[in-house]
Amino acid sequence: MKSETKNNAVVIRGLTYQYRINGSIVLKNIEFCIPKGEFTLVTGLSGCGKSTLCLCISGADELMNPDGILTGEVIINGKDIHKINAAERALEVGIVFQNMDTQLFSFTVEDEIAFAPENLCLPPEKIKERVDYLLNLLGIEYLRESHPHRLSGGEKSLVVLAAVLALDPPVVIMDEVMSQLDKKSKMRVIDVIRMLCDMGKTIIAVEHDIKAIESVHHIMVLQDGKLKSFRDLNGEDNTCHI
Amino acid sequence: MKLDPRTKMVIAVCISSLAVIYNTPDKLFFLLLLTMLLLLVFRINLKSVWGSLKPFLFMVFSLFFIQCVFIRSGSSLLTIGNVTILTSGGLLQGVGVALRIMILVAVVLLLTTFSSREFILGLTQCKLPYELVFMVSLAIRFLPLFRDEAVNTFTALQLRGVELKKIKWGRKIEIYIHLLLPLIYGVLIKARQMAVSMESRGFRVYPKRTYMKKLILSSLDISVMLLSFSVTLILIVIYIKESF
Repeated sequence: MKSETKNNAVVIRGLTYQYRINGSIVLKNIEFCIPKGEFTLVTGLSGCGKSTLCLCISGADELMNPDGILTGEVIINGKDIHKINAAERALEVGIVFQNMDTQLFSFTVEDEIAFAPENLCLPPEKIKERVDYLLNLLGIEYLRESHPHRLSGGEKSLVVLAAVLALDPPVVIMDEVMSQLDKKSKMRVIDVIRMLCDMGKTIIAVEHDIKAIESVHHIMVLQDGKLKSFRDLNGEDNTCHI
Repeated sequence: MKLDPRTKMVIAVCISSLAVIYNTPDKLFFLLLLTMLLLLVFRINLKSVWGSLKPFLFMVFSLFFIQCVFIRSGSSLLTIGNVTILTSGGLLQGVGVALRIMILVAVVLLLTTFSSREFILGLTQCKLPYELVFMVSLAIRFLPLFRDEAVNTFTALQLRGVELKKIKWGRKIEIYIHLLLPLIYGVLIKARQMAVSMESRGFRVYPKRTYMKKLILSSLDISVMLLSFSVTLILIVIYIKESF
């Protein structure tokens, strides 16, 4: 069990999630693991629990739904995400939600990216270095002084992604980031995902349009809160037995 | 002239304080001229003052009218029959209120000469809690989101065939009350998403935080601040002495 935890970026054991308010079970005994540096696409019909799974993996479930009951374990790089403090969590996993407008709260793109490192008390020189690096990496240097809310949908998603990457988390979750983007912006985001995978980041993306993403390592299908399949592009079962 | 945002905030506080304390049109007019001069120094187009004042014109005229009609002091200027409509005291008060609002609008323009980021930095470097300053700026930022949500809700309603313009006011208010709940619910969900996003990026994980940029007060800033404070203090003392 220890070696599974060591080699994998994400290990989910017996994850069940229930809403206390109406008793509905959104996730039912989910188990899987994702090796470090691999790209997993999560898909399924609306209401099958994709977004809840993202929240549980990021540890944001407690913040988003304080009345939810989570059982099982979510291990990110060997650490139980629900047992570490907020600062450690922010350094382990980053999450990009579907609605970009609620994730942009600064007045310039540069500030938006600097927000997280500033919160974690990084020295100013290091913050500036990271901001410059990410602006260049994502090709949005020209947006540095722009107001985040005056950008196009594609640009906003790149800015939010840069803001999340500012803490250099090894695991990045994207919850339907591309669903409202045009083809050109979608291609741009996919290029960035490929680049992040090459950099060794573990990516979990929720998307309906599976065809849009070719460089995926695993495709996970959820159905009614259960893990229906977890396979690679050749159709081979990738579920690790924990 | 390039000044630190804190210096501009000090100037704004000084002018606003004087605008509130003074109540005679001559002094307020002088203050308005001084503010306009400052706006020119900070290279603000005076046309934009007019642009910013436009939305307040109705309020300015309403207040002017109310003061003119209801304040009855000094000599009578306009009488219809036995009823005095306008007095010299009322007119002076009306002009004073109108000038005061114009000064405050012009002062706000002075604050637009620096970015919101500089505003946050300036206040936090003045030892104000970051959370408080950030919350204020976030609230300002959140207003357009709230407006968008309201516009979307009303558009959706009108697309379903409800012609709000043709409905009587009583029924209209009823519809607005019904829409208020989903509107607030939508905004609350957005606020929660924003809070989650902020917390997942480490907001308030530590009692302190660092800043990528830092504002530095120059000797010019300190001189302008001291000058503004002292001049304001002297003018207030003179005004109090004159009053008593």
